[in-house]
Formats: sequence, C-alpha cells, structure tokens
Amino acid sequence: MLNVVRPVRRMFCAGPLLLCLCFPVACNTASGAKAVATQLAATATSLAGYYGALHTELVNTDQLNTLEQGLSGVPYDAATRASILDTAAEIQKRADLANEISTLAATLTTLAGSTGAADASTAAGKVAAAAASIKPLSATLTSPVQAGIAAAAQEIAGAVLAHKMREAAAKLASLLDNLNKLYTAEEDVCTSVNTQYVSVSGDLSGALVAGGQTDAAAYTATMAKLALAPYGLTAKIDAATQARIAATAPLILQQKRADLKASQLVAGKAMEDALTDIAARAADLAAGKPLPGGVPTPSLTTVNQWAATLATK
Amino acid sequence: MQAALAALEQNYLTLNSQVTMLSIACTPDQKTALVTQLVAARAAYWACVNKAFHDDDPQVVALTNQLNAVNQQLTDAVGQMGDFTATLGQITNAAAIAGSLAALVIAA
Repeated sequence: MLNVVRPVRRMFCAGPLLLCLCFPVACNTASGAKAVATQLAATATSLAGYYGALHTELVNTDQLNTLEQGLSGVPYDAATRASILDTAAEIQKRADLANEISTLAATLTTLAGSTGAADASTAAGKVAAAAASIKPLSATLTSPVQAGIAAAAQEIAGAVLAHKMREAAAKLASLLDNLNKLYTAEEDVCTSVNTQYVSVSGDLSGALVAGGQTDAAAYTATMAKLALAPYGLTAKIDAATQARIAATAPLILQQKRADLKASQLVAGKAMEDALTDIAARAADLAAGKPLPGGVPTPSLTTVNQWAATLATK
Repeated sequence: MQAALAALEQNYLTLNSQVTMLSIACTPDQKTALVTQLVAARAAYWACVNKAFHDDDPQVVALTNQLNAVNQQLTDAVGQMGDFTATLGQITNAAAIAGSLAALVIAA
C-alpha cells in the first residue's frame, strides 16, 4: 500500500512542482502557470456571477409579468411563462458550468496531497457533465462548441490521472477556447435578456409613478438626502416642494433605465475581454510560449459590480 | 443576435413602451385589442429567444424585412399620435408578421 501511495504523494505534495508539470513546456516559471490557473478561477467565478445575475433577471421578469397582469390587465400566458423559465434554466446551466470550471481551476492551482489528481479528475468530470447539459441559445452556437468543452474536460480528467500534464494543459486551452466561443455566440441574447428586464421593470415603475402609486415623501427624502447628508443636515420639506421634487421621478427613472442597460453592456464586454485573455494565455502556455511579462489581466470589477446589483434585488 | 430575433425584440419593446400612452386615447374595446397584440408580440419574442432561425430561409428573411419596416412605421405613427384606428391596424399587422416569423423558428 505504502509503495503505491508514496510516489503519488511525492508527485502532488509540492504545488509549484506539480503546476510546473501541468504546464511543462511553458514552465519557465511555475508561478506563471499558477497565475493562469488562479486567473481562470477568478474569471470563471465572475462568469458564474454574470450568468447568475441574468438568471435573476429572468426570474424577476417572470414575476414582473405577473405584476403587470394584476396592474395593467395584460394577460400573462402559460406558453410565454414557460419560455422565460426555460431560458432562465438554460442560463443557470451556464452559471453552473462556470462554477465547475472555477472549481477545476482552483483544484489545479492547489494540487497537494495524495487526493490531488483524483480531485482534479472529479472536478473535470463535473465540468464535462455541466457542458453536456447545455442547449444552445443562439444559432451561431454550434453543437461542437459545448461538446468541445465536455470532451476537453473529460480529457483533462484522464490526462491528470495519467500524469500526462502536457496533454492536460493543451486540453485546458481547448476548453477555454470553446468556453470563449460559447460566451461570444450568446452575448447578444444575454444583452436582450437584460433589455427585456429593464424595459418591463422600467415600464411598470413608470406606470406606478404616473398613477401616484409610489411613496413621494420617501423619494423626496432620498433625493434631498443626497444634497444634505454631506453637511450633516436633515430634510424637512413642505408639501409644495415635495411635489416639485417628486415630479423629477420620471426623469430619474429614465436615467436609471439607461444606466441599467449601459452597465450590463460594460460588464458583458469586460467579461468577453477576460475570457479572451485567459483563453489566449492558456493557449500560449500549452504551446510552450512564454507568458507576457508585466501585462495586467483584464479587470473583472465591472462584471462583479453589475452582478452584485442584481444579487441584492 | 439574429436579425429575426432582433426584429421580434424591437416589435415587442415598441409596443410595450407605447401601450400606456396609447391606452389613454382609446376605447375599452380598442384597449382590449391593443393588449391582445402586445401579448402576441411578447409571446412571439419569448418563443424564439432560446431557439434559432434558418438565416438563409427566404421566408425568414422576407418576414424579418417586413417586420423591421412595420416596426419603423409603428414608431412613427405612435410618435405622431394620429388616427388611432389606423395605428391599431398597424400594430395588428406587426403582431401578425411577428407571429408568422416566430412560427418559423427551429429548436436549437
């Protein structure tokens, strides 16, 4: 028993050494390989958050349509509801896939102990299963893309278990190339989902404001606080002034709608840039090219911030 | 996004954004007709979001072009707030085209 375990332990005990093995050709520095795996874990986590926010928008759109039925008498038919929820389920599958990829990347980053290879193999298997469950949301997404993710993940699992780390690195690059294609092919549909959510929520908000069904006093207090709070002052506003301030609500609503659309576009572009960058770095590593020194990785801040605003709603 | 889906989205968004304003000026029967077309436009859009069109299908191309043209006419008509009956006719025509286009969607 010990004779079997010890060699495996020796191989997986030293994180940097194994990372070096994972990306052998490009491993002029083990830290470079580790940086790619770390970047992938962060990128995939942000991607999961991005898709998670879109899922929230779809679920909210479903509920908003029900609200519209009650408020405006617009019937919400079962077929449309089923389409919205089906789309939400598909988006959730992408969030799940991204989470599994993040787990796989983290496993590759922290390979240590006798179960390291098995953990990576298990994580890769989950990526494959998640990818295989996906149905395309766009005509430009062809089945070889999601099949490519699943196949690459399975091959990563097999390669890690067989200690064929050069092969594992190449398959990781293939997985990321296909993930990038999946995201890019469906980006417009994701933007459309956001547009629908903003439009439906904005139109309903506009109807509630126009119908006098919002708290003018609370709105006035919030707006006045923006001016007064930095100076330690508290609002005490008479009815006439309150009415004038409340009349700005439609304008603020219009601006907010534009902001909500723009912020999703910015987040979506940042996500695309990050996926393109990590795919290129993984391809370089697999090809034995040196990582570009001193080139910063794309920021995921706008993605995370946008996803966080939806998470709180 | 595919041109057909973009046209369906624009059709629904145009109607959804204008229906409140149009409702003010119409009779109860006209409002019922307006809401019916809005529901049809929304159904056509959502029926196609997670599916795909054959971009090279001449029928898809023709209906997409028709819907884009009607969407523009609709935007202009609503902006001018002219003859409501004529506008409702355009809305009904747009929803019918959207429905025909949505019927051509294929499972992705």
